[in-house]
Amino acid sequence: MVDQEELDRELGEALDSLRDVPLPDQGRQAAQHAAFLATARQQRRLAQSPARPARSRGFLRPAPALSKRWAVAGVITAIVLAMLLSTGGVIYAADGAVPGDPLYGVDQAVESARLGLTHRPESVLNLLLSLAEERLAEAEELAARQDEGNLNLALDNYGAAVSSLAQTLGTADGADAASLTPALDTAISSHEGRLTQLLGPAVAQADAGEGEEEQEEEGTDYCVGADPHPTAYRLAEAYGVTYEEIMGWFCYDGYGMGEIEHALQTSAATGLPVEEVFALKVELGGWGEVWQELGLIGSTDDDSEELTEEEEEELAYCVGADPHPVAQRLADTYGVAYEDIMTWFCEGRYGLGEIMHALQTGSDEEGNTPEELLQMKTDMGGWGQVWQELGLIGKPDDKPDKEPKIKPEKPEKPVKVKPEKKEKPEKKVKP
Amino acid sequence: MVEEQALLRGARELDEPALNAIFETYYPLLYRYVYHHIRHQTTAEDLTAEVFSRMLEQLSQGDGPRQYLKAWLYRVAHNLVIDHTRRQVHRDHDPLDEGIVSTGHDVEMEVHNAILQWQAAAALQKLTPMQRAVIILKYLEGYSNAEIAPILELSVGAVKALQHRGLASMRRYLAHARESGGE
Repeated sequence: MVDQEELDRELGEALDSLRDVPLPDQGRQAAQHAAFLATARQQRRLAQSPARPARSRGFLRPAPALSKRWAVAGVITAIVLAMLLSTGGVIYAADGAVPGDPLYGVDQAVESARLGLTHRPESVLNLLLSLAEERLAEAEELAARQDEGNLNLALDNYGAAVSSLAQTLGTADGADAASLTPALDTAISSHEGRLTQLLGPAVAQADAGEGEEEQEEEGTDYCVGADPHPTAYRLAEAYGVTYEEIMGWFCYDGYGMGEIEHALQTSAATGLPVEEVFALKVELGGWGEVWQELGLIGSTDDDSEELTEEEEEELAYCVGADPHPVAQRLADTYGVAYEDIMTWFCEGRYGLGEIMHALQTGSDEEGNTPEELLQMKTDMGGWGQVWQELGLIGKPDDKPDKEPKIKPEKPEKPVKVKPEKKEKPEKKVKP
Repeated sequence: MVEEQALLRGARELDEPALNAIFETYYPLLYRYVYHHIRHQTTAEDLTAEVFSRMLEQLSQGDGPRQYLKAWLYRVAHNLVIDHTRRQVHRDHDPLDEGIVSTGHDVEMEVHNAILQWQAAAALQKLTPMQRAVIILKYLEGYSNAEIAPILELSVGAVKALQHRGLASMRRYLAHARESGGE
């Protein structure tokens, strides 16, 4: 048995030993410093330049990467044209590149050049639609490769492509925008299902799958061996139960570690003993049913419909202690509370793809919340319709930017001068 | 504090000297914090630079830090670390590889220190992200509980509880390592 005082001394020494850290590489730090100041300069210049008409007020977050490319499109066009003449094979090969591939930069430059050379609104829209489609396909390929780092980049690129689409519609004149909106609607709707599939199970599986599978295979060794089972150890720590209890469920009752974790999560959320949770699971057959029975998640539109394994995996995040990685990412990216996203996801049963588009749309001048936008999308059937209804796209350029929206139930409102933006409380900040 | 407010005002106007001072002042602190979490130099440098990039992005949208610049920057760093850790958790990657810092003593001492550092880093990795954050900020970076609370958006009581549980968990790990001959 180790003496407590001795252990404290050792802990102190251990912590002391961690204080020294290697200094950052001076060259890299200097380069990062310079890049930071250069970006700041560029942003200051943008802030000082005259305000862009129409859609630059918060509707669909700007697409920085794509916008920058637009700015240098002329230069790139010349370069790419030269390359087309000399290195056509490379450009052809680059067409199938995904983020992380060496030729991806070439692929992007070619696309920018194509955009720079396209002028008719319909052609630009079609090109942007095909680029958004390509970004989504890249994300799917990266998900299949389980390359999560580049998957995030591909999803960001997809978001940027959709932003560009909407911005293009925003600058089209009224007639053009009205005729182009249905095409946008159809495309975005078709993306949504794929996006939800992409954001959901793929990431959840990548997050929870691999390591655990290996452990499960080797798991039975832990029932006879002296080494602690790492997952059981983690669960015991996280949920305040004993390691022996967990190994009892695992070794004698035959539950997998994943099931045990779900049971512990459910027990923590409801106060039911873990054994009763297991009994319910056996009785009802699936975790989705257990959580619905216990009122932890909203019921589906069709109660008779059984939840798929993927849906159960997803809904585990609704009752679990672990944050949903995609929801967390959306919260960080769009600066909204993680809890709000999970409320829309768990109670509203909106897909993460839909939530992403609602957040991209952002709060409009009328103060519609993302939740209201999601409801509008459900009611109206497509994001294009929502954006048009909100006056974010398809508004003729000669109308004043802040013309109030006309709703049948309400009398026409006068143009309001919006007070200066209130300061948000520090706590809410989630970059 | 006064200086922090001045820097913050300058940063909101994208004033270059203010942004320059912010980078120079906080980069080393944030780098240390990130490094303690992931123990990989290049990644720590990249994530630290990303903190400043996020700050610019937020400032240009009229968001970003309002009152407490340092706490805000640490929070961003913390969120980036969490994101990074989630992405790395199932990869074949040993974050402790680069974690051993030579202290320049004799060989026996070097070995002792290397083992100690390895065990300490491993014990730290066993903690939950929030416990780890508290232990790092308190014991490795020297912040008080009152300073840690706004960084992690917790009450002082919650910080104390995390600290208590984190230290207990590290003690258990070290005791286990000792008993199984890892000393």
